[in-house]
Amino acid sequence: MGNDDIFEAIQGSLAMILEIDPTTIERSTNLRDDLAVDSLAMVEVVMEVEDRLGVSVPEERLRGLVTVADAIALVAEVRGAPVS
Amino acid sequence: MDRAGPRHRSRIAITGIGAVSPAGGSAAETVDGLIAGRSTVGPVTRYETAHETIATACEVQDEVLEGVVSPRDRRRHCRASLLGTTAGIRAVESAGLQVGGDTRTAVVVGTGMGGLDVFEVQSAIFRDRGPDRMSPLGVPMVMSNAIAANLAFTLGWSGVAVTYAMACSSGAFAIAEGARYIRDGQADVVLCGGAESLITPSVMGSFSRAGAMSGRAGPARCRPFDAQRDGFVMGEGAGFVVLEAWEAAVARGASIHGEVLGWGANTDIHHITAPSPDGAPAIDCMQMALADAGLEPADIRHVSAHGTATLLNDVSEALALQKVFGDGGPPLTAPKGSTGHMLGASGAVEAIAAVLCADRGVVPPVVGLEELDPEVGPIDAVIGTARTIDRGPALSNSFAFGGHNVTLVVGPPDATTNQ
Repeated sequence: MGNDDIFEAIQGSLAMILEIDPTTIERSTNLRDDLAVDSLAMVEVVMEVEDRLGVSVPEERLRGLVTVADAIALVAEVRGAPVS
Repeated sequence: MDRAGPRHRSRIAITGIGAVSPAGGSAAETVDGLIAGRSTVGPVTRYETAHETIATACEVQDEVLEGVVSPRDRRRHCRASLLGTTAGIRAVESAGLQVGGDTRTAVVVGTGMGGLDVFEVQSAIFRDRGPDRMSPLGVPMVMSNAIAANLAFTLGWSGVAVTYAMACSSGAFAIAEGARYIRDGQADVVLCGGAESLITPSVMGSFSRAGAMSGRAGPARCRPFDAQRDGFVMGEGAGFVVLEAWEAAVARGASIHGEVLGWGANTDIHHITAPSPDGAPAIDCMQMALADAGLEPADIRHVSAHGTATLLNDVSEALALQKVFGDGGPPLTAPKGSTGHMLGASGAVEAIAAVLCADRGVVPPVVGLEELDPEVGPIDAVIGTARTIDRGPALSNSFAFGGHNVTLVVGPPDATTNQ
């Protein structure tokens, strides 16, 4: 797996913005189907993740994200770390 | 006079009521506060400030908002929308409605400035951190029509949802327009009312600079018609009613809380913020409403004044009341002394309070009024404790910046029956 800090940042951001229990969020969680994240909420979540990790995620890349694992991979890529 | 009258128009039943105000989370709690003569003035908790002129307001307590908008969804509401959605949904719940696919619905909302609270925050983020850190939800939260949209979405009502911006008369006009939809047969069920929350530094500062808000010399108090009055105290809130045609409400066995009897509206073109000194537009507005209701001045059992406690409004309004009703006139209350000025929500919440007071046969005292201003004409303002009256029609005034005058005439469920 790896990138635990990214997972925790995404998990924490989702939980904060969606007002849900963070332990319900896993790497396999589907953002739209399981959490009802729409495009506006996605931008909010990414802003929070950017603040937590000090990274910048290009907005044009958000459209392809399906699962939490996809989001972790994207953040890892923009941070320049190897994708697990 | 027969209000079903020559035009055979439908009577308008109020079948649902919801309100959130500084006095509580329901219409009944709000009216209880008014009747008890409670003040809701306190220190502002919504922001920190060192400026005393913007440090006092009448705030809605957060705990009365529980249970309607989920914590997750709250991120997508400006404060006015949170208050409005809460009050509106409670109004619909109280109506016990079954809205089917063929029911023609309408949502009619009045608000002065909608989500300006969100705009202030987003502007600061833009200034301090740049456009890339602004919320993607900014526009759908700031837009004035968000309250109507959120109500329609929450209810699943796909009929028209419309918003009126007429400053402090917005909520009153929304009820008048909602009533017109029913009278004209344009809708079967209308949810209408007002919502406002402008306890923000920029609005508070601006009202203070305009000389409209109390607190420039000493503690802020809203004292309608009092000799010592020096302006209003800012409030916030929301009030909504469900309206249906009388026959339809009776046919479905609805509990009818009251009736919208008539309304009047016009524009005082004297000045953007000051009423005509002779009160002529306000006189016309009240007479228009009485004529629309098919009532004479003597039929009105109590008046709910606009009564902002500004120097100009109260003199002009009292003069107009005197011209309409004669010296003395019906017992008068002015809710803003208790709740503060809920701006675009005030006309709606006050009309709802007038309905309940008309039904209970009681006129609340004017909180803050101790000594009637000698400059104010002879009006029968209720001072000290609530007064018992005969149940019957009430007249509620809203006079706004921009000259928007609206008068509603409302009554208990059995007002002046001609059935």
